[in-house]
Amino acid sequence: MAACVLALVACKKESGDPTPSSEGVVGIWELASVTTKASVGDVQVSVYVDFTNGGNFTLYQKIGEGRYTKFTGTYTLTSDSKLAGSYGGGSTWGPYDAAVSGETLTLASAGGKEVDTYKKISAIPENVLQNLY
Amino acid sequence: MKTKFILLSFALAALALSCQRPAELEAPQPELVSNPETKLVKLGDEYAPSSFMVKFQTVPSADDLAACYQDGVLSVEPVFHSVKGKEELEHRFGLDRWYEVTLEEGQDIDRSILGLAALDQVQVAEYNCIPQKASDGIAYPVPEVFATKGTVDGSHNDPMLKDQWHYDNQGSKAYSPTAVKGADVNVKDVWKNLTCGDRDIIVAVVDEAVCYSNPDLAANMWVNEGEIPGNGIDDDGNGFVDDIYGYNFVDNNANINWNNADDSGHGTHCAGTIAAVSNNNKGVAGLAGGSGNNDGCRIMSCQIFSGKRGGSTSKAIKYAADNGASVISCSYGFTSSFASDNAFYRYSSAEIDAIHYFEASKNNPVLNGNIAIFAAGNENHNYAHYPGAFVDIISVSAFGPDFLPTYYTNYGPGCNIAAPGGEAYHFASKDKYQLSMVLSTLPKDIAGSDYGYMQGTSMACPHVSGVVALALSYAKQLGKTFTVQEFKEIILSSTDDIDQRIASTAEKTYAYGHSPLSLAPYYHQMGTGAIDAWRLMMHIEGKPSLTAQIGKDQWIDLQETFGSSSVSLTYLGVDIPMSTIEALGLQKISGESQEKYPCTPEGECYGYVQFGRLHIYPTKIGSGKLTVKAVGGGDHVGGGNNLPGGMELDREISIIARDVPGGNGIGGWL
Repeated sequence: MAACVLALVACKKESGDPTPSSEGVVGIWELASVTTKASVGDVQVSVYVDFTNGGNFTLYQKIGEGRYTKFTGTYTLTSDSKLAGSYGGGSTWGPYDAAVSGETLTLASAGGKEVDTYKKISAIPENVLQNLY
Repeated sequence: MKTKFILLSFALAALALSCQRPAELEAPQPELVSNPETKLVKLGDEYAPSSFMVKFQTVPSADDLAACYQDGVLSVEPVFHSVKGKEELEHRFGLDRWYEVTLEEGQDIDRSILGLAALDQVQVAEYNCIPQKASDGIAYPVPEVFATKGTVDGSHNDPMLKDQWHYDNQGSKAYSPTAVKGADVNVKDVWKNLTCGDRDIIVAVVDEAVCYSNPDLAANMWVNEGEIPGNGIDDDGNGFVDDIYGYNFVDNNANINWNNADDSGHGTHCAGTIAAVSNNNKGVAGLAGGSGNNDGCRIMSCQIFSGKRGGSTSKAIKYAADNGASVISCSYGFTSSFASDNAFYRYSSAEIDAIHYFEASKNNPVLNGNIAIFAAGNENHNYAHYPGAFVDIISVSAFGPDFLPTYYTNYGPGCNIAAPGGEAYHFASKDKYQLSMVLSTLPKDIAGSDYGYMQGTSMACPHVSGVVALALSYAKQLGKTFTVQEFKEIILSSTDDIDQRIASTAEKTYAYGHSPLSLAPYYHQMGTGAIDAWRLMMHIEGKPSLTAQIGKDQWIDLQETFGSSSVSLTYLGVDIPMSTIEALGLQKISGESQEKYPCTPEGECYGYVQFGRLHIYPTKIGSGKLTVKAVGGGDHVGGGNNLPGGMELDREISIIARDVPGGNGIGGWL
C-alpha cells in the first residue's frame, strides 16, 4: 500500500519537483475501521475527512451521541509518506505513515500501534452537513 | 527606527522582541538634538499651566540648576524624592536627573519651557500633561444586595457575586441577551482550590482616589504602618508626610479624596475588582480579595485624578515602587497619537523612566521586580494608547459578556491581552442595560451606594491586575521564583482563544442606539487572548492545561503532554479526583468502559485514554486536575519478576472546560 504513495512521490521527484506531494491523499475519506481494536471503547465513531489539493483539510467527526463537529486545518505529505498537519486552533496531529491502495487510505501511528483505515467516497454525506454543531 | 507596526503588530511578536531585552532594564538613551523645540515632550493635550519638568543630560551641578532660573521661574526642584538605599536604581533610570520647574503666576509656559529646552545641559523638557481615564467615567450605582447564602458554587459568600459575570459567567441572559458561558476570567476554581490572595502582595491603583472607607475595601487597604496619621511629620522618612493609604499626587498632600465635583468613583471601582474583600458575606468579591480570613492582597491608592484635574503619574509610580507595590494598575492613557515607541520616548518621558524603575524594584519574594498593567484605551482605535502600547508594558483590551470585543475597546498593535471590560446592552427595559457592565465598589459619598457598574478598558485592566496579584500570591505559596520577563510571558500565554469566536461571528449587536459592530477588524487583534486565571496558576505550577468544550463527548489529544509517541503509549488509567468531576460536571461513562477504565475508588469511569486521546464529557464550565498514567518504554511496568518493562509515567494535567469552540488542545480525530 505504501508503495503506491512512494511511487507517486518518486515520479514527482524525477520530474524535478522537490516539494512534497499531497496527491496521494487528496479526496474525501470516511473512517472505516480502527484496526488495532474492534471498537473505540463503547463509543461509536464517525469521521469524514476531505484532503484538498491545496494542503487544506476539513474533518467532520461524531464521537458518541450528538452532532458532528467540523474542524479545518492544513496538512502536508512528505516524500517519505509522512502525513501531518495542524488544526485551525493550532494543535497539531501526526505524523502518520500514509499509504493509499485503490480506494483505501491507511494511516498508521509511529510504531504502528494505531492503524486507521479510511474508504474513499465521492462526497460528504448530506446528513453529516445537516447535522453539525 | 522600529515603527509601532513592526514592534507591536502581534502581541507574540512583541513578546519575542521583549525577550531580547536585557534582564536588567536600562534607561533608554535618547537621541541628542540641538533644536530646542525637538526637546519638548507633550504626552497629551491638557497640561499644567505653570509647571513643567526638565531632564538634564547628567546629574545637574549647582551651576546647571542656577542656569534654569530664567525670567519667571519660581523654583527648580527634584521631581522624585530619593529613597535611601535605592540611589543606584534611581540613577540607573535617570530619575535623579529630572527636575520640576515652577513658574511665577501669569508666565507664558510655552515661552518658558522653550527657554530651558535651549540649554545644552537640558536633555528633555516635558509638559506636566493630564492623563485621560480609560472609561467614560459614568457609574451606575445599585443598591447593596443582602443575602444569606454563598453564590459561586459555595466558594465565596458575597451576595452580589452572582451579578459579577466577569468572574464566573454562566451565560445568564439576565446580564445580557448575548451572554455566553465562560466569558470571564475563569477564577472560581482558583479560589476554591489554589489561592485567594496574600497580604504581602500589594497593588497600587494609579487613578482617582480609592475610597478607603468603603466597607468592602477597608480591610484590604494597604496601611503605611510607619506613619502616624495627622501629625504633620514624615515619620517613616519616605518623603511623604502622613501618607497612610497612599498619596494625593494632584494636590501633593496626604489627603486622598474621592468626592470632588466630577469624580466618578473610577479608582474605587478598579480597586474593588482587584481586591474588594471576598467571602465576607457582604457586597461584591474582588479577584484577590482573600478567603474571608484577612488574607487578601492589599490596595494602595496613588491618586492622580481629582475631578477634572490631574497629577503626576511618574511621581505616583515611583511612590508605588518605593512603598511596596508589586503591581501598578493604570486605567489611563494619554491622548496624543504616537506613531512608534521611539516617538513616545524619543526623549524619554519621566513616566517611562518611572515605569522602568518600578519594574526593576523588588517588592515581593517571587519576582526580581514588579509588573505594570495598563488599559488599552476606549476610542475604538486600531492601536493601543501609550503608555500601555509601549513594547514591554502589558496593555489590556476589553471583551463583553458575549466573549466578543466591546464596541469601545482599542485593539490591534500594542494590545497584549484581553479581559472583561463590560458593555452596555440594550434590554427592553432600559434600567437593566448596565447589568452587562462590570460590577464593583463605589464611593457612597458621591454614588449614593457602595456598589455599582462601570464599563471600559479601565475595568478590563484591573481584572488582569487582580489575576496577576493572585498569581504572585500562588507563586509565593509554592515558593516559585521568576524574572519579570518570564512572568510577563507566562501571563500573556495564560489565555483562552477569543479569535475563533470572533471569526465565527460576523457582527454583534450591543448597546442601545448603535449599529451592529463588524468584527472582522478584531480578528487576531485582541492580544494573545482572554486572560484565564486557572491557566495562569497551572503555568506557575508547571502543569499543562488542555481545553475542553462543555456539552460534548470529546477526545482530547495528549500529544502536548506525552510527546509525539502519545498515540502508541500504553495507558494504565486516569485518576480523577471528585473535585475535578464536580468542577467540570464530568458525565459518567457507562458500559464496558466503566469496567475497563475505572477512575475513582468506587470503580466509576469519568474518562479514559485510548490512542493518545483523553475521552471526557464535561457539562460545566470550570477547571480541575487529573492524573494520566502511562508506561514509558514497553507495554507494561517493569520490576520484580516481570519481564523487562517500562517506567510508569504519572502526569498530572489540568483541564479547562469552556463553552467556546477551539482553544489549544482541542483537536479532531486525526
